[in-house]
Amino acid sequence: MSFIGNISVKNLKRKPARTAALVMLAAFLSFTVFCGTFVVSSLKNGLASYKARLGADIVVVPDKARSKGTLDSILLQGIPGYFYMDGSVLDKIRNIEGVETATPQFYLATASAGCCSASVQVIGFDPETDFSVQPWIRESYSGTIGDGDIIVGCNINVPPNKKLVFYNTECNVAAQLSETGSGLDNAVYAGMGTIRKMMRNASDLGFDYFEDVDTDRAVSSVMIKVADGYSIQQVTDDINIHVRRVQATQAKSMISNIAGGLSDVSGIATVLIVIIWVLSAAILIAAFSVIINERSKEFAILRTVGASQGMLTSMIRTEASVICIGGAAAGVIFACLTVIPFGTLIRHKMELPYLMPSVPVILMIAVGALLLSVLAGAAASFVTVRVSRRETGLILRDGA
Amino acid sequence: MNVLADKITRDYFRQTKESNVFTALKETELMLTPGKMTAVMGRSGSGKSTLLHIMAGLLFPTSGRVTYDETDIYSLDDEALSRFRNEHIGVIPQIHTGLHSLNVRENVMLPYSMYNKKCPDGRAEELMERVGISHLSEAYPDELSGGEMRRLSIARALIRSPQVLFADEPTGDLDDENTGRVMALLREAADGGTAVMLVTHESEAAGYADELYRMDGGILQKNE
Repeated sequence: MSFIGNISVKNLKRKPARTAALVMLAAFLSFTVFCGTFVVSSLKNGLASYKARLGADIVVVPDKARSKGTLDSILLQGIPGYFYMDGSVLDKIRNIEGVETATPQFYLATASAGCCSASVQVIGFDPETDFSVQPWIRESYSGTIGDGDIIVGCNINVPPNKKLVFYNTECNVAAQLSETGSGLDNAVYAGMGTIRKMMRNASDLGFDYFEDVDTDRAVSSVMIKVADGYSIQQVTDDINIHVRRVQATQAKSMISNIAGGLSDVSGIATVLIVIIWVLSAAILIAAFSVIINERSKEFAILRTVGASQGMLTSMIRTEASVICIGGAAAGVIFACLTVIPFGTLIRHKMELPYLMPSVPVILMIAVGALLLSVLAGAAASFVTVRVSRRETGLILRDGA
Repeated sequence: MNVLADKITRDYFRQTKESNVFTALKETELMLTPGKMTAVMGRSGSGKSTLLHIMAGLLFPTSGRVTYDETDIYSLDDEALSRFRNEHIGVIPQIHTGLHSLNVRENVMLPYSMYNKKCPDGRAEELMERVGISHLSEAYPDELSGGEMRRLSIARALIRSPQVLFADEPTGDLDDENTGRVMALLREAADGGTAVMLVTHESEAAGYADELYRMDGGILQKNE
């Protein structure tokens, strides 16, 4: 090791408490930057994935859906829920001008009882008309979804025999989907024939989900695509006017609620990151300045025995780099151990779609957090190098 | 190596009613020659340390120049001047300090290790023995007394057998026995061909010198 490297390391080792405090400061800085960026990135990913999977222009649900567990809580948070309306609304909606395609969906919350393998949300769709679920199911599964087949979200435990039972309806798991970061990960998807069978069996078992709606005619929601040239707002208004006891909502507005929440979280995180970075940089600069002033006599001695300004500068920068890189790396590692294993908990607390970024993006965030910490250290060493540039004779005179 | 301070002066910024400039060293000429010990005596604040620092290449003169044989040291860039100081000049500063991360032995060998040069075997031990700190070779500066630290500085200044040696109050906080040891070492260096400049206010230490100067109010006068 060179003289500068050697003496820098010895300087850091000789003052362990001071070094540890500075390393912790650098670690705190990178920890905050990494965690903040990671969470915001996960929320943006979750929103993009949710938006892609919703796929409709308008979503129609029964009025009572508001009190029986909203669509948001089913799709975003994965809270099992159900609400039904008579299938006749489907024909009424299809007759509204501007509706290009309308496809029903069926939501059935399974029970924590012997008749069901697990308590999950089952989402049914009509394979003939569906445009919302099947396109992204095909990303993971290209086969046909036959009667009795189900597709499960990534959080569903699949037994080795690939059989799951819901309301005594034995189903074959045809595929498991990739992660979305939303409630869709906890859902089971089934064709209309399969879910109708489950609904009938649930009713026969005495589960009173359907009230006065016939299980063979019940639908939970209607996903609508609006024809080109028509205003989505106009079609939404027409449905709300002409079809009774339903609530039509633009999918965009569902997304925009989430996007608004995300924007708030993202804005707060960004402001906090900036404040913490500025404070940490200021503390590092102050700490380094105090340390360099304390060591001015040492630097004067080094100058008397032949150290150049360049050598002193290198020494200060080496010490700052070791502290900042070491601290930042520790901060990033600790941040990874915090935000990655606790991703599910964070998602539940946020109540927003949350999908962790890919490994290359995580690496980029880590490198960014490291760079920001090192930049704070570089700013500190830049300022302190100027402090150390006093004439040696003056330090010797004043320090004598 | 002859060292010549050629019409050097040094001003400091100091705000007073009359002026913002304080001239610590008025136009001064001084020659240090190999094999001779030159002592400069004077009261505190008389300008003798300023003269020493300028001649050692540690403080820019306001005017004038300092030459080592033909080399004007203040015309060198910082890198070259630092290297020159390392190879040819030894300085015993007035302040008591060493590098806190190095032990006594490493501090003494610092002028060699700084440029990755190998210290001759036994040289550091010999010097530590002569200044009476060999038993402290593994100790760190914050474990030393002022006098021990002073002796560390002396051993460090002598380790590379410099051609020119500057000593600023080298016996200031030493007892009589150690004062005698240190002055004998400086005398020995001068006898070995080193040009030695000693700044002191102790007349006993000045007794070892070949030439004696007195500094008063920034003016240097030779004691005949």
